[in-house]
Amino acid sequence: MRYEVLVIGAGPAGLSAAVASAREGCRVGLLDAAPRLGGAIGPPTRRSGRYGKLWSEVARLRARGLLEIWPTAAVVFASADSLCFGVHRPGRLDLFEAERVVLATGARERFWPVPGWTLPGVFGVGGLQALCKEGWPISGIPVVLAGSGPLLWFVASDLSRRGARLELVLEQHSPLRWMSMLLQAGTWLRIRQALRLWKGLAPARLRWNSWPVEIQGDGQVEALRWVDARGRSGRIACRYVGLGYGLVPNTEVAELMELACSPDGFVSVDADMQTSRRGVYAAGELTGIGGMPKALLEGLIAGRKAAGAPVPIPWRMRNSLEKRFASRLAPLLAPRRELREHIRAEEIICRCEDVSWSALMPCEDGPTAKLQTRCGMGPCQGRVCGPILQMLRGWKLSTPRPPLFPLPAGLWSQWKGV
Amino acid sequence: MTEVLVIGAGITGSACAWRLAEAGFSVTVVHEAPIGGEATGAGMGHLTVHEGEAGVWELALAGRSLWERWAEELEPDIEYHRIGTLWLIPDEQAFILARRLQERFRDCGFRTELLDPVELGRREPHLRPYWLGALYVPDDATVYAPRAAWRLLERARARRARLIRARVVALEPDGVRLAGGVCLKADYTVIAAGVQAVELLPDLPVRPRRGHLLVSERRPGLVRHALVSMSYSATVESRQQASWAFNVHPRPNGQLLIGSCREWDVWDRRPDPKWGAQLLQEACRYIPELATTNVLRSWTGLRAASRDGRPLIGPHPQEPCWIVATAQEGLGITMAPAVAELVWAYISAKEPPLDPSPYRLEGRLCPNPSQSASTAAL
Repeated sequence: MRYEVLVIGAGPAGLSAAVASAREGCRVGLLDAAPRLGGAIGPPTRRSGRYGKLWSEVARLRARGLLEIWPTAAVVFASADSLCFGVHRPGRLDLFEAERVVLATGARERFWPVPGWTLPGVFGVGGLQALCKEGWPISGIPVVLAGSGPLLWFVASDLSRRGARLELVLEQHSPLRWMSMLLQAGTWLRIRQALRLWKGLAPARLRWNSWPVEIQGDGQVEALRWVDARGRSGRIACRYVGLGYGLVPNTEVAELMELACSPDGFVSVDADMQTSRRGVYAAGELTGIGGMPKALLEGLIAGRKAAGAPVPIPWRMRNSLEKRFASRLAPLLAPRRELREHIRAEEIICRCEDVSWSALMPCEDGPTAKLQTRCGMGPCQGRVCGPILQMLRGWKLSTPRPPLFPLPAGLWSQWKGV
Repeated sequence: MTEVLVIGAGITGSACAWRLAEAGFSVTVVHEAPIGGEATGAGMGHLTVHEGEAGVWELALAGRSLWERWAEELEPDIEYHRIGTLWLIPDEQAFILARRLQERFRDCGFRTELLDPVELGRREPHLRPYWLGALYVPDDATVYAPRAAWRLLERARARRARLIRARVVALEPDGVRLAGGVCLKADYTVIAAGVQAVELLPDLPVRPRRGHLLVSERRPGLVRHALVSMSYSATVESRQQASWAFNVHPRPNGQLLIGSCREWDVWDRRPDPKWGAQLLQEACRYIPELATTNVLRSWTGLRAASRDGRPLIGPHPQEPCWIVATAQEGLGITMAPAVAELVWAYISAKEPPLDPSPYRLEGRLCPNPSQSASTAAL
């Protein structure tokens, strides 16, 4: 497969970029590891409003033959020397080549090793919401959510709309802290959105300034203990727990391409969304966690630039506002100090390889931890434990290596490369 | 007290540190990469013996029997498992080789068994019936080498050895200079830095020989022994730029390690998916069920190889207090305990446990460093 513009990731940023490039007459390929378009995290696919217009554009451009979409297509190989990718689809491994590339690989949830987090019934808030969207029965089931920020509030209101018995929502910061951040860096739209979400949650069920200290249960979640900043505490029975302490960007493809990243782990881009490599652009959560408005706008800019079209100045100005919002949001989403200080020695950090926090203690850096304990060496390749250790110890386990996702040996054996 | 600096915390450096600390020397280990983080961690950890240039067999043999002692002494998390090697015989010529190898093993007191295809199929039911048979060496083992290096250093530290994480930029007659200008003084300096020894001693005839390895998801029971094609030793001795041979081992947790290949003079550590394809082609041909098994990761490692195929162990002719210990090529893990014995013998002026002459540096250095591996590529 060969395209003028290849867009990797079909969330809001990727869709927006693909449409923007195809509209300029470029032949565009859009691929995503998931079977459905729309991205892994965030609101359900809304077919109305600004996002809705995007979907009708996708359909129109596909019909014109300018846009080709590849679902269930995961990039497993990427190179620092050429714009060639190994793409794994069920039963196939194909070479995709491009003249320009837009990376929009999005973000995944940051899991946090709250004591008891490995019990069945503990999810990421986004994962829990995705399950419910797929039809997982939630109605009448007692649920506790804990975490921080817009995704937590959104999932809380969405789950209660779906009939879940929302026992408690533990937001780690105060409304004041959130309000001052939104006033400083937010747009009116975001403030209104936050207020609407808060209003939708029953006040008795939403606890500010509080966080979980232990998830209890015997083979399955049974209860959660929590405390708040004033030292009050409690225990509440529940079946499911959703944790949501921020998102981490999926930088694996970018790292394999050896693109420059900022110290906080995002792909570095200029005002045109171009990365450190000419002809390679990045958009969306990959450049900073800022939600849908940022993703759509960055996708638009990246897509237009990849197609060689100019970008209006007002877009750039708005984009710099979105960037500022993203940079202020990040510290509020990360687990607060108290959560980082109370990791039990026996807590499992790497679930693939069963590595406990105490086993990691004697290691002095990420590569040592990986070699000595095999932390991050399992099927998920450190996607879960890596961000935890980054936050707890400032470690980077190691740079990703091919394949980026588990790949059947028989398929790989037929790989010819370029 | 005699001060000894050891450069490198791979399996060789760690083994030397322990041996020397135990003998009462004041040891300081200087390492830049994580413990066992270079070739030690990249390899398969196969403790085996195969034919090679003069002295290779003897050193590997000595190392292998010392490992049996280490296995009893060190913690179980070094994952020493006697899984045994099956040297697979592809053709008549290899059959003759296998017979010769068996005799040689027998002379050294090794248990071996020549398996016919039926018996081979019984021991490895998932292996395609392609082979004429196999030479079975039941006492060969595998070990998780980076953990072993860690445990060795732990013991050295219990004997007052110090560990310093720093980059050595130059050797001095009385020690080393670190990046940043700090000098460490010592009576002896052991250079156990693998292929990076050429950065410090450009006249060493050491070149990188890059290998690729893959690891699969857990498939317990699919492979039970270390499977190596008899053509493996030919790839070791090959002068061609690139060579490869079928080589698959089970890890204790059921994952499979899939190798192995050799490329001369490649310093680039980034794995190349085309090599993965090459290795998997072989592996899937001989273990058809592997085709549906997921591969999780690939990586590379740089074996330190000498131009003549013999390890380089001994004092540097120019400065006898520099003791070089490198160029064990693919047998670094197996040889490490024996290398430590040789290094100890040099420093304490004792009788070495085996003839050190094949490994000495005299007459083997490159007078013109530019002939040695190009360090400019680093």
